[in-house]
Amino acid sequence: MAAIIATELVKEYPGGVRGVDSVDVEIADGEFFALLGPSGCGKTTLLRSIAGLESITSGKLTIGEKDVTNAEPGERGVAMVFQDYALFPHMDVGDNIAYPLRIRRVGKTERRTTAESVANGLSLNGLIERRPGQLSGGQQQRVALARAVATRPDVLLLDEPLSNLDARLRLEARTFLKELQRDLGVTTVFVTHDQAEALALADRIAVMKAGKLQQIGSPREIFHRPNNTFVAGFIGSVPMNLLETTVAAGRVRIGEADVAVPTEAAGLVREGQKVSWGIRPEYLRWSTEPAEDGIAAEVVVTETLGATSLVLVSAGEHKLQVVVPEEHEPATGDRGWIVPQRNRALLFDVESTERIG
Amino acid sequence: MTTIKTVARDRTVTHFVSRVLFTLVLVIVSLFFALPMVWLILAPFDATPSLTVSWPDWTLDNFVRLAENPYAMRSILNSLILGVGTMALVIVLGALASYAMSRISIPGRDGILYALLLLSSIVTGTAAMVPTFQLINQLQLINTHVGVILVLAGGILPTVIFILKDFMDSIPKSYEESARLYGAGPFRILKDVVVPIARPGLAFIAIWTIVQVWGNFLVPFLLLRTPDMQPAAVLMYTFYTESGQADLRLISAFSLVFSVPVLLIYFFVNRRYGFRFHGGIKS
Repeated sequence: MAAIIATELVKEYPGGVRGVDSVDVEIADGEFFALLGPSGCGKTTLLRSIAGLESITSGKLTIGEKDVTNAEPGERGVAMVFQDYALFPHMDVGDNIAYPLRIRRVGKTERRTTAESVANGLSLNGLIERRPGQLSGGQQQRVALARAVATRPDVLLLDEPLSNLDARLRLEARTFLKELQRDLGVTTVFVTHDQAEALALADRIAVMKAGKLQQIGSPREIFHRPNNTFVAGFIGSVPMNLLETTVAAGRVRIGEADVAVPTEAAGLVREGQKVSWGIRPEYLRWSTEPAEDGIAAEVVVTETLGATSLVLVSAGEHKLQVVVPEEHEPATGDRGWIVPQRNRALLFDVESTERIG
Repeated sequence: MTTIKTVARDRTVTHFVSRVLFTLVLVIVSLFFALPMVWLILAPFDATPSLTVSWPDWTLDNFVRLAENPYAMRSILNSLILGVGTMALVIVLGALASYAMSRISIPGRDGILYALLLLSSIVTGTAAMVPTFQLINQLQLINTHVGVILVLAGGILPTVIFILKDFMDSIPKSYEESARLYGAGPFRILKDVVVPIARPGLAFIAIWTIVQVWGNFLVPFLLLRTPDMQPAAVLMYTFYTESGQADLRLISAFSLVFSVPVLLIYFFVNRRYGFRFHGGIKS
């Protein structure tokens, strides 16, 4: 088992494009760590740099106190599950799982025994003699995982492990993956573009954009206190409401009304400063009666989400989304008030996009 | 009513006539192509074969005479040596080169491939006859099988690299990366992953190379000086009677013997490995 420490890691492609731009990250031993970001943000490049499949341009990478910046992939003690699983089509499941052992010159009978015990541990009983082409997507994924853990790696890397599975299977595989990681206690880094997946699985998440780290923190921290407007908009199944406005008389102007400056930001904003007021739709309440700090608004569109409805309302020049429980959903054109929950609103600087406070 | 019936009948008649004519043309065309094959099968068993196809006066004498010829069987063996030798060289070098070509990006890679493909038809062709002879002469490889194998392999390789590169391209990179992560080196990856997946392509290349070499006349004719070294394709050229006439009894029997090994190799390779003429893996 091993911790991973990257210091000012840079991966520059010919032509000067930086896939990974000066990334500092420490991943603790046994941690389940997510690299999250939109496509092209450099998260897969960072993962491949850790694996050794991409050469590191500058910076330092250590795995378990060993400097592996320029080490061959095979010398790093890492195992990886690829997005397409990369199972060898000409070998059966047993040979696939035992392939890393074959490279390490483990005897044939021992290889087969290990492969079988690992396969059984991942509920692949009775599939040992099948070819990958004869397996379902979920089974293929488990074979790929079995092959990765059969060598008892120090670090397990997963590249978009759930993206090739259909929606229903994905939930099942998610739980399975979390359980497996807990049981093995192996340091695990996984790449995903799905914020829900990252929130559900990871102990800590690193959000990336254009090769740079935006924020590292626990799922709760990232959800509640995003560092900047990018993270605020990227995390959450419904994006955070971000309203550009100004500070006037110590309060923030929203539509016709104004609300108090969030407590953490109080004293850090100047009069007339341009700010973004951010609040998650889940932390807004729809009220048909006036309330303290309520903002008068009119319903524009309602979308049913199942147990809740997503309601788009307009308050003056601003548009906001509100999550409303199913019995209380208003009709289009209704007038009422939206009431923000206490201490849930955040303030961001418009120019730097950073959170204030 | 009657007019409609007549028109309908006319149509059936035209249709019938056109079908008959069409079939007739097809039969004539197929006969044209089948005749040499029929000759190849019948003439060797005829006591007096001629250049026309006729019902044979059955005999096995031609084969007895062929067996008595001091060079005939030796030449089939020579053909096999040249074919298998060239094939082995082409497969090994072709697999290595196409894998490298597929995985390493060199500036102007496609240009190099096309240029090689174009030039290769000249290397073993008539145009390069003199320089080829000079080259092999300088290397002191005249009248050796090695010399012929080198020249033939050189001519065939560009096409082989071109075809195999397509197979190699279709193997997902993640297969190799996955093997690399477990500590496999490039040769190990080639042996364990790339070659087994590209096997149908390699089988096709193997048989295609043997067929090319089996039928090649010019290169061995040019570089092999003594009849005990010559392959079947060249030896056939020497089957004349004392009066200077082509010895059809020998030629016909030898032609049949000449075609059998290639057919056998074809069926063996096809059954064992299966051909595919293009790359592509279900992913």
